[in-house]
Amino acid sequence: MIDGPAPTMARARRLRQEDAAAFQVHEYRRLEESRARQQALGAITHWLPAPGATKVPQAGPLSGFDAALKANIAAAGAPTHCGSLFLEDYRSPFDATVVRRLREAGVHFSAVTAMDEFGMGSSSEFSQIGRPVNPHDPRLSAGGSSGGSAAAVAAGHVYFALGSDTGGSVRQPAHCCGVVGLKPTWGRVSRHGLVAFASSLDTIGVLARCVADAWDVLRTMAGADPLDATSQDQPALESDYLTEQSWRGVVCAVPEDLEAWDVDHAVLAHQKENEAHLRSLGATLQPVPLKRWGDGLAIYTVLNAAQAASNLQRFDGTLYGRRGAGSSHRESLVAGRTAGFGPEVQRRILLGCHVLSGGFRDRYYLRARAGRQALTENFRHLFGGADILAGPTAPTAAFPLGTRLRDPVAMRRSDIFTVPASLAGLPAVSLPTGTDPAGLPLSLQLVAPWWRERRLCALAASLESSLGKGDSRG
Amino acid sequence: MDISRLEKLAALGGLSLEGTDRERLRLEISALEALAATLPAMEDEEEPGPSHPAAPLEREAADGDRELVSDNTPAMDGVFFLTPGVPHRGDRDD
Repeated sequence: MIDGPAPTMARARRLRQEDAAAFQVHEYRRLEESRARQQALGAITHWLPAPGATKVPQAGPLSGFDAALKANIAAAGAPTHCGSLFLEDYRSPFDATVVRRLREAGVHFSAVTAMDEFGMGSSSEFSQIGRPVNPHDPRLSAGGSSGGSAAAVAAGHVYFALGSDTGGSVRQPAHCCGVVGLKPTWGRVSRHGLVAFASSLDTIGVLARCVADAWDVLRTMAGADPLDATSQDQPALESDYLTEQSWRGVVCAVPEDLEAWDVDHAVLAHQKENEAHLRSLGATLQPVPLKRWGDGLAIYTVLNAAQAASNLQRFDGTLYGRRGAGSSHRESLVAGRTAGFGPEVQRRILLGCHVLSGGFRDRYYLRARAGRQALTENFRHLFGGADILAGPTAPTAAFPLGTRLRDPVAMRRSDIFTVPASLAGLPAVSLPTGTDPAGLPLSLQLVAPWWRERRLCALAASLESSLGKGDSRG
Repeated sequence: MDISRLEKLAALGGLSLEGTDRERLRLEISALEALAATLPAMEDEEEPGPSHPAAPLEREAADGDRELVSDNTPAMDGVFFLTPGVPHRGDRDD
């Protein structure tokens, strides 16, 4: 379905400088073709109107670039439906902080993308509003929950898209669709305007066609925000263009026991290729056991359900969303939520109530929190001796639609390599590094210590460049 | 898990079980319990407080020794209800 690469922002800037008129024609064609393809792809649920010419800063660093936002990020007047019938008619009255900052830099948000309902899923099939397919093969999943954002970028609908990553929801769809997915340190980017799912894990991330583009977007939207008490007052990310960094002398931790993780042969073989390539670039590889990662899915499943159940209690139909029929407030609340929430969301709410209920909280929730602390300490120890961790983003390439819907364990396993960095709040990037024998994208996930996004992106850009990809693409 | 337990959970969650695939729900709960059973039991059940994952696990005590900070988990109990988000109670007041 991809019939011609769309340019990266870096290349578009060059094209614009070389011949502005020719570039305008190119952009017009890109948008026309993109809208024609969208029907089959299903990545976009709503196109947004173009802003008045006076409202877009012409001199902004990202001026002239269109972008999409996941349907759980608020933009004034745009549908913030979260993939849920419960919020089908909801329009946000204000911009999320990330949207405001990017608009001030000149970005035009042209589309809202499909997603698993409230971010709960790894294939975007739990969406009640729009169901994206994989741009490389419509029989396959685009991943999730930011599947619409990944597919929109891969198909060239937009230059970049915003997603949210709770347990891998930016990195895993990026892997499935063959684009870059960047998740910052928890606290690096304000979440004011992001509909909360599991607040101790939620981050806003970027899907882009190259690392330099993802970096440009991240540094524009990052920074402390008085409207989000969990955003951190860290030194600003430098404003200059990302400088690639040599891998020579970099100590790179790699998983030593991947064979024990039920990983596809193609993914295993590709990891070996990536390790050989990193070694050839001068990195020192340091095999590390991933045994603590085995707890990651269990910890994530418990914490995620508990926090989701709490966060979604706010949807009572009084201020937001559907209100059902009933003779009392309680009856109408139950009717509205039962009719508006899809089956996966209802299941997670019930699971959350179960793990938080009397007699179970210690056994599940507190134990999961202790496990999370141990996992975080495990990472701290790892980064005491290594600069970065490099492993697969997911255990398989994009999988056929429908195959994991009835199997919650298989669906959760899609996130087995992304969840640990989320639990520890670490920054990570999924970088497309090759394909499997069927031609489907495969990726390398790089995980860096807390707040080291600049080095993470510089090393990722250098690796990307060494593979003949990056901002020269397109 | 019996039906009365499922109904109690539904009441807590503000949902009705009408139309719910109960077998699937039981399967999910069993899967979760099996997963949670793999987690190491805690030595004590004392609840740790929230902090950022990047916060140090140790701090300097008054006597100059290092002491463990009680928690390094960004679990946000009591805070995540206040996390700004959309939709969120009060957002429309202005």
